[in-house]
Amino acid sequence: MDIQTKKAGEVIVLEITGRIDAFTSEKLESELHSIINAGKFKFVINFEKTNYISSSGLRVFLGAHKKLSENKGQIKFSNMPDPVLKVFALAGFDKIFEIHSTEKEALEEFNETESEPKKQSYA
Amino acid sequence: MKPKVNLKNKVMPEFIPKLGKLFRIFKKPGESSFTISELELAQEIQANLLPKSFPLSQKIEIGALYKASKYIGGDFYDVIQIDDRKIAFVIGDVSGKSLHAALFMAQCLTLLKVFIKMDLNILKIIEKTNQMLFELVKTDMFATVFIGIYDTHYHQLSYVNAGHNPPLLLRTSVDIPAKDYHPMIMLTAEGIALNCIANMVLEEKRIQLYEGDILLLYTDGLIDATNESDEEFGEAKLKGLITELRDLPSQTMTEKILDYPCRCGGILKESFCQVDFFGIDFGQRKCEVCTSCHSEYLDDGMMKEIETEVKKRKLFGLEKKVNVTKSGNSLVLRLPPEITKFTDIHYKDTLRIFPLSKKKFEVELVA
Repeated sequence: MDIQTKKAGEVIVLEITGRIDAFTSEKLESELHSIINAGKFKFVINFEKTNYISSSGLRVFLGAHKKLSENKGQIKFSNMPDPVLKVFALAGFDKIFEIHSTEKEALEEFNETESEPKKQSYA
Repeated sequence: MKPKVNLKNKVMPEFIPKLGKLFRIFKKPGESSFTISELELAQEIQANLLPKSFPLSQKIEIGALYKASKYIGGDFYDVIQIDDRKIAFVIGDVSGKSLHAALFMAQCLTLLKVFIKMDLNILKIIEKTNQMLFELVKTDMFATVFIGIYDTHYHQLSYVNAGHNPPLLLRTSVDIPAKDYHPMIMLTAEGIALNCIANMVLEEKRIQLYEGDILLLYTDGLIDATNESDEEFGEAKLKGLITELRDLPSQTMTEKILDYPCRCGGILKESFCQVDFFGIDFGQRKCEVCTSCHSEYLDDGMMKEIETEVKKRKLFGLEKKVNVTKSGNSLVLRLPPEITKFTDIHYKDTLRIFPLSKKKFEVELVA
């Protein structure tokens, strides 16, 4: 597994190539954690070149999701090949994470959320 | 008083009968290591949780088989008699394979069993378990769970599926109303694995069962196992197999499903293999060889014997990571003393280097 990291404004994009399994998920976990610990809370994960994900991989994303939720951050996914999407959907993870067809769409979604006017609270 | 042996620094080998190739004895790079004591404890927790017997019933026949595909599996199952009429089936899979995962599995199964025994509504069983886990367990672990409750009087199966591989229902009788007839049904339902979100959205489904119906509950280890070419055993092969084996008693059927094919689809034949591991000669041993991809499978007893011998000879952690340095135009690979000692390589010995692939080469001591 290989991870390419790039910045798109406030958002960190991770492109994962290869298999995310029990052996490689630790590398992914430490990569994500080090970026989160550096104060970045918005991620897009591009799965275009990912050919397999096991439950260990799902665990890494769930952990990151819980950590990011505490910091008002978020992970969005993009370019998921069918076998990867199947694993996510089976465990019901498509209900926690936003899955976009392209990286561009996922990034735009972040920008739109940011540019939305803040709702007035009457509480 | 004897001094306590410090087991913390010993790395346990990971046996991964990654079906298709024997197994790896040393941990892969980057993989977290377990201490022996942690592993043994985790295994004990798991072994104590799995059922030793099933409820006796004249209405259904139960067969079960558990085989860890990793050193510690995170899978669990049980069959619980709720009352005179109802029987519950539970199967689940916990992500992770550490002591924490074993404890999480214990919490999960215990909660599920308590709520099942209380005869709660099937949705409530999962929802309450999830709530408790979510409050108790602040980790990244999750568990996929399927629960089916069979009413033996009305022959109706209610089920929920929290992100688990859908069980297969095979109809064997032809004397079934047309509206219910389908030779193979996958028991899917909307749901999400436990400990992911606080408030779960789940769907309860019901299905009428008929005499001769076969329900197969399994975990992903069964279909995700790959052969050397990374081809999965897969759902399709499992469906074919269960149809083929449908006339057998349930226990024999489970054994056949697990043992029948090699994961490449080939057939396993009993044979004898020369077992040689890190210089330890275990001689000719009984094994099963795939007629198609020639993978060799050893049984649990043999694995245990290898493990004991490797432990005894203190061969843990022989795998080393070294950096390549440079001398003139050649690259220099330093051999750590643990390896040269084990392999009996000395200064000025002649070695034969043979590339096996772009990323792998073999080094052999030439006498």
